[in-house]
Amino acid sequence: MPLLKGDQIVDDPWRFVDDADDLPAEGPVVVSLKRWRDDRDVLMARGTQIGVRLTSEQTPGQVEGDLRHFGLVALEFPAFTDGRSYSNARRLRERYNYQGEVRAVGDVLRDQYFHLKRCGFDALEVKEGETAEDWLAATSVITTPYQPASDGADSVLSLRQRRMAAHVE
Amino acid sequence: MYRYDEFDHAVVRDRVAQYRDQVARRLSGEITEEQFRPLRLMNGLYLQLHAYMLRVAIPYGTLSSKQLRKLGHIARTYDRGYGHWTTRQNIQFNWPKLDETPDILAELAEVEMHAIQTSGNTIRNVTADAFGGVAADEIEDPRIWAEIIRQWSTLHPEFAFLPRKFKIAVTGAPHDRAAVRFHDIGLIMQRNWDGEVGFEVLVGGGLGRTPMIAKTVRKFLPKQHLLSYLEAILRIYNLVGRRDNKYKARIKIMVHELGIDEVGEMVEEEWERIRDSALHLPADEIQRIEAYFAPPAYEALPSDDAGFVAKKFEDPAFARWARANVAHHKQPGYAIVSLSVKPEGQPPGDVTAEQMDAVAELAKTYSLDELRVTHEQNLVFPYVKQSDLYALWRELDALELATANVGLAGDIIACPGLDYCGLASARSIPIAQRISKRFADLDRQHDIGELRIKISGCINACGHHHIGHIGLLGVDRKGEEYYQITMGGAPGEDAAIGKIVGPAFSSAEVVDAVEEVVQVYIEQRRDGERFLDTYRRLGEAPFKARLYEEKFHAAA
Amino acid sequence: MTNHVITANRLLDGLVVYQTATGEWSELAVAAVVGTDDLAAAMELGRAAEDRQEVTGVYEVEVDIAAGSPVPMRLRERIRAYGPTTHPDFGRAGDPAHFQHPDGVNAVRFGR
Repeated sequence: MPLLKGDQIVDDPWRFVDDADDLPAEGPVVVSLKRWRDDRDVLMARGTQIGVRLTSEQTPGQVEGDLRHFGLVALEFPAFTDGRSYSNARRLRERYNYQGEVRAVGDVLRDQYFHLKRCGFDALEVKEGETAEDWLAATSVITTPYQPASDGADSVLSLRQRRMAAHVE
Repeated sequence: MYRYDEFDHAVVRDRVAQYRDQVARRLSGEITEEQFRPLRLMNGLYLQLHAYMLRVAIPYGTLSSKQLRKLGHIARTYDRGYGHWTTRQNIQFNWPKLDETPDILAELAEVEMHAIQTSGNTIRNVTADAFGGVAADEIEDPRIWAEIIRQWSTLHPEFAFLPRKFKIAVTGAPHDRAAVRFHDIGLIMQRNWDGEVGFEVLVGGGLGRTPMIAKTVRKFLPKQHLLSYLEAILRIYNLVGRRDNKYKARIKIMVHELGIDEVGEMVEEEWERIRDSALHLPADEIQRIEAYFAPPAYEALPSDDAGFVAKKFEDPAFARWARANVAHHKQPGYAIVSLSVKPEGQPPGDVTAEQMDAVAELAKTYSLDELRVTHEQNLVFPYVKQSDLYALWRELDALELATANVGLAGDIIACPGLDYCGLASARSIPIAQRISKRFADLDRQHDIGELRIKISGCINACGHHHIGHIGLLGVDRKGEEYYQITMGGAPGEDAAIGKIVGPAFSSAEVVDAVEEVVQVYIEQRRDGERFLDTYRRLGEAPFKARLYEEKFHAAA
Repeated sequence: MTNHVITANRLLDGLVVYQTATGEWSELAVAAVVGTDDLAAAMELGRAAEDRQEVTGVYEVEVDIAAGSPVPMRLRERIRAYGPTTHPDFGRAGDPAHFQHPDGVNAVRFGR
């Protein structure tokens, strides 16, 4: 599936490795939290980028100390109705100041792209045929949202503030 | 009342466009019903027993006459000529067509209304005291805060897929007319020792299968921290709330299972990290919203209008209406008028399009263009001059909206029940009609005094039966409709969950049973005691005895 | 052997409909009564209509055929078929007793 990252369709350099499978000889790999704990030394020794994949039951807090080693954190949506990963993404960005890729994996519809981007996700697998334009349209479906979130975008709250400050001047 | 600026308009406009696209994708088959369902629910569109049902948000129950006229137009144009007021201060239309719902939402957007998040596992309509801004006992108008919360919660990207629905209520007075202790978050406005106004924050109240009274998570929260604190609570709930069982997914279960202390610790820990973020409310933003709720330009009037007093002597029917349906106003010479949407023998909470138009006109003439919807399915005119009360009464009477029964036995709250709702076990509207007819005599109702009867057609308790002085819960017993009676529920600051009094009654018997319960109260009451007081003094024993041991059941 | 009809809500207006012998969707009176043996096939037909975005929420309803035309056995299904018992204006042809209530309460006719 094509990867959308930062408003573009790109090639995906990452490889997701199941717990039971061997690590490939080279290249960036994404492993489960369990695999990271079990094979940490091996993974670090490979010298390539490491990513971790968290289930919706896990939290970034469980790998807080190791976040600096991860080029990618993948957060799962087992069903699109399971909204836990939105909070985990926000904590990654705001509490832990994580700067790497935050990718949504699993069951997400176009109608959740808006939520994903605002919560700090910057990558996800899109369906065959979906384009960067679709992503941009979906994420800007509400021109100015009411409340601040993790995407650094203006909110109605901040715009009104700025306008009031301008008036005072 | 709040007026949209260009930002508010843009949000609802964008939302309508998004929804229109979603409906088109459903009709073309691009998305399945399973994918579409949560999306339509987030715009308040249910599929019920007979048809779709659209729940339109009425933020904290406040409406302008212009908005009410638009609701009448929608009822007439897109529905079957009427609407239904709900127990969360919203309005429901029972017969819209799916492909017309985007147009309905577009029309609503023209008058600053919407159906955003009136369903789904999202933060729902924030409710508040329907007497907000005019009640004599309030510390501050709670609707200011309900509006601030409304904006923060609308299309909040992190909380669109919560474990379950989330309901917030605000009271601005110690006398709680918003039932905040039965909400997921309840906010009670308070003054601290320094005279500063803030909130007591409660979490984990609710009705449904497992009714619970909310617990205090923070005794005093300064105003500027309201949104960051709410965000902390919601984030903890989103992460920790159960998702394995739909019936255990509300925050009340989380509080019950983990305990308020542990929940409080998690919330405080999260809050410490986010309290000084962009959610910290600056004083000028608070003032900006407050300005919309500033008192209107009242006339300087004497506290008691002589004409009003005189008319009450002359006209006993008017006096009776004033006693039940008119409440004390904080401004001298004014009054708060309740419009009873409980005419004798009729389904509670329904108004026709014609009534909506007429009420909109009356609101313009008599109530400075504004009205309220209460969680007990009645309407309120908040700004009526005492000198206008007689004329207003005559007009309301002609519209069948002046039954002098507010807060009395005829003022029944009922969910739509099995006649309309796909979740129901039994009907509730005909039971309400029958009880209303049994107690039709207004003198009798006034003699009985305050009595809140609430009827739910199933365990989801949308009729709020748990907090009725007398509650009825419809159950299905081998295909027959039976009704369990509960007693002693109370929604306010003396919060209590009603207790089941014994085995359920058949549909044929239940109205007699309710009458017997009232009869016991009449026989046993002491001076000045309401039904609830007598029940609290005596307990259930005499009522149980009458219903199950004495002549009543023997006769059946 | 139990008898069933297949029901759903029409996608466009949400109204209650029943599957006829020819696979169309209409009132209860003309619904195809299906015995146990043919139930699976009838449901298949119904689900195909769902896939064509004609209806949604297809399921089977047990009916009594003693009176000639099918009558749903459960109250909930009779209410779906004939309409809310409190508002005959919104109902469909059916037994007038459906709209009757004890204690002298009348079903509401709008334009009261």
